[in-house]
Amino acid sequence: MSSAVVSAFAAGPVAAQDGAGAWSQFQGGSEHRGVLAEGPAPPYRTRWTFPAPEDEELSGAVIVEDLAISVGERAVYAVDLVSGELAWEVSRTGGPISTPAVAIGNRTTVLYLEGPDGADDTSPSASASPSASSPSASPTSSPSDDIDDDGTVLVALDLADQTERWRAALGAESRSGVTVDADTAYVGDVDGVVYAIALADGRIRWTSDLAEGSGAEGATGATGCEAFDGGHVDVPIGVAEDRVIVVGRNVDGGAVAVGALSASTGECAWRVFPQLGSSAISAPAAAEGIVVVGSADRFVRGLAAEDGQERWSSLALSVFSPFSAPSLPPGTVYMADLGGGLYRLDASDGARVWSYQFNEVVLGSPVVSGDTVLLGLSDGRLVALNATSGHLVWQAGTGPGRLGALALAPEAIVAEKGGRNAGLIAFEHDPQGRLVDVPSPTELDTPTTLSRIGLAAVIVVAALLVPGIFLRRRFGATLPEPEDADDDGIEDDEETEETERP
Amino acid sequence: MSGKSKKRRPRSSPARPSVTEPVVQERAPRRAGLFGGSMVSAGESSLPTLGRSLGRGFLAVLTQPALVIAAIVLVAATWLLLVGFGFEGAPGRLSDTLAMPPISTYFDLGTGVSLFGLGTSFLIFLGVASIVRAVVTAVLAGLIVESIVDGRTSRYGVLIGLRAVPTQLAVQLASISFIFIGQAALQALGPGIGFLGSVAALVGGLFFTGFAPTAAIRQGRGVVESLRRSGRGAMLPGGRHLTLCALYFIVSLPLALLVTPGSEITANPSLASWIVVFAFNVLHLVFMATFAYRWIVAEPDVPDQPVPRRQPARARPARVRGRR
Repeated sequence: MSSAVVSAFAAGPVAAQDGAGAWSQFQGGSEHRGVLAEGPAPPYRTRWTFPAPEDEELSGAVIVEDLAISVGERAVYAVDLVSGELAWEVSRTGGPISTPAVAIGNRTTVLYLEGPDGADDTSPSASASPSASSPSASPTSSPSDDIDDDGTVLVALDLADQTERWRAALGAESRSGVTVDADTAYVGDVDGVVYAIALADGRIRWTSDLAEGSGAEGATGATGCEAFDGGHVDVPIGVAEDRVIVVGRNVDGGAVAVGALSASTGECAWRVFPQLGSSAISAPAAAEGIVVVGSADRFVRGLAAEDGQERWSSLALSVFSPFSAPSLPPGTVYMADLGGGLYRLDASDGARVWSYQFNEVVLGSPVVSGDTVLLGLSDGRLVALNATSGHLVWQAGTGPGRLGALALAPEAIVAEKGGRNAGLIAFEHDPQGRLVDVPSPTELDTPTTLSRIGLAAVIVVAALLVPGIFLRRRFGATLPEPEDADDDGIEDDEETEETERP
Repeated sequence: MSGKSKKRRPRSSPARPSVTEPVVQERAPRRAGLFGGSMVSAGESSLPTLGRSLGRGFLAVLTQPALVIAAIVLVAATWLLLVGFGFEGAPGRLSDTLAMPPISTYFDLGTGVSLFGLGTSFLIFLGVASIVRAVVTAVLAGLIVESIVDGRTSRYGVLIGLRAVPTQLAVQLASISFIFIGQAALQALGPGIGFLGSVAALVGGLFFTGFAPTAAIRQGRGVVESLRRSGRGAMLPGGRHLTLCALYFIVSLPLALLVTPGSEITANPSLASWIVVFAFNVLHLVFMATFAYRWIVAEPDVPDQPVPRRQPARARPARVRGRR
């Protein structure tokens, strides 16, 4: 993530940077690397649980200043990372739940999406998307009258006192979550529009419409990344090296596009269409000049951040969830597919180093804590693997309901829990815990498998051939004798033979 | 395998019935159109009843240790080979390793896609797998024919099976076409009628090509002629052949998927998985023997030439005949 702090906003506005121990947004930062080198090591134990109020679900958490912040249906919650107590909450007017972000600076700001109230996951907003000539921004701190009730609003809160700093109205419903890089926040909406919003005052710097081309304010002559009609930008946006990495999905038409926009102008740098016929694709992650996505043809692709050219691809066993992103520690790619496969790939050529098969649906992203890879599974398990061997070293169940997005702090792991017992669960290192060393079930255990084959063969041969011997004695093993030959249509040996028995 | 000589039986090709022979001329007009008579009573059919056919199929396989052991060895070797090549999948799919095409083609396609995705490597794999499967299936068919006719299996069965390799390869390729047609039907017609269409493509493929390897082994004819005769054999009226094909389809896909444990991806299937998988693959050989037995019995009645479609009475004016 860029660490630039724009001094122009020193009077109070904010800029995003890597704060010490902060997990400031989806997968920890704008690049979605999902790595915390000094994160807790296994084994773990539960530190606390924070149930979602009124049995609602919570978003994945972000962590800043010993607070885990998560978005719920009717409020934004800040939970004390040490005790699990509710530190504060701010009411929210509904809308799709998505991961918030934190912009760390002189005035640390919490950014989250709100509304439209009553929106569901299936019905796209009927509102028109913003255009270049009429960007809708509300650079004031109070909710303004011109905010479109049918659209989502990006809300900025001051972390210190939870006062609202500004609101920025989007043209349609948004589910992408918030990405913060340098002095800008990026969000996408279901009309396929990407917004770059100034952290200082909530002003929309530019918009880019994946469906209709660029409408970049201050980006005259910009070439759009128009991909297809009906595309949604509902997957978390990545930012790396002045590129805004956007995934557009047309769920109805079954198409996806990955596009890169200039972070400063919104101009389209490149776009690619990883596959046709499906809208399944992972969220992107970018680091070291490579953009990594997992697409519906089961390939994890490494694309050059500069021009979108495919550098490598690696086959997985299943497709990928749009809620899942790769994790990119230096030189390595970790990717989890929807079917429960976790893969370690070489970031230079995509070669598979190891894989582990959990046989359980995965909707979250892998994260790397030190030398451990962590993943939440849909059966509620949190699993930890040794990054070098690829063996399972620790796992624990949390009850029914998925374990989704993970957030890392130096002393804790905060997991989003779904299902009936939705909420947040925090884990910490357990000095008394025990580690295991379990290889993937896809590694062949030759002695075990051969002994099972042998035993099964004996059972089947005995079970089938013994009745066979009885049947042979009872009925004979050949066709009926010559007197029945006419019935069977079998000719006798005077007939022509084309093959003689050797 | 026994090399003991028994009473001489027809071992390969019986006399080819000529269209001029009375028996053929008498039976040839009994054509009831596409799939006609395939699901109705086998009253006067040249094809034996389903019960008798299946009984003989069981007898031909279960009385031959070589066939049962071959099924087990082939399935186990296939799994170890695939895992060695990096295959990761659920062992339940092994139940259809030795299935008749086009069911087995699903196994090959699924395995290829798992290993390589869709691309050039997949096509190469599919080509190699088709050749290997053609050889293995042809040899098994030869052993089965020998078992049905001579009551034993020997090297002779392997040799006569090898001459069905080209025909079996053609059946493999045709099966791939059937599956693509089925998938196209599924895409075009949707999950309801499209699903029925895809099932019909599979059952229809089995219906027309099920006799081909046995025909090639028994009569030593070319690929095209063996396929044609297989289709004509399937069209013999009253044999409930379509019912047999549908039964085999149900056993091979829904039932096998339902019964076989091991839906989880692993390289180390459980003992129960192996037992069920081995049993299902022996069952595939039983069905292969069932088809072979039906062909052998009906062989003399299969016409050399396509039977002309009977014209409706009102469409056959008397003056046409008068012109002749």
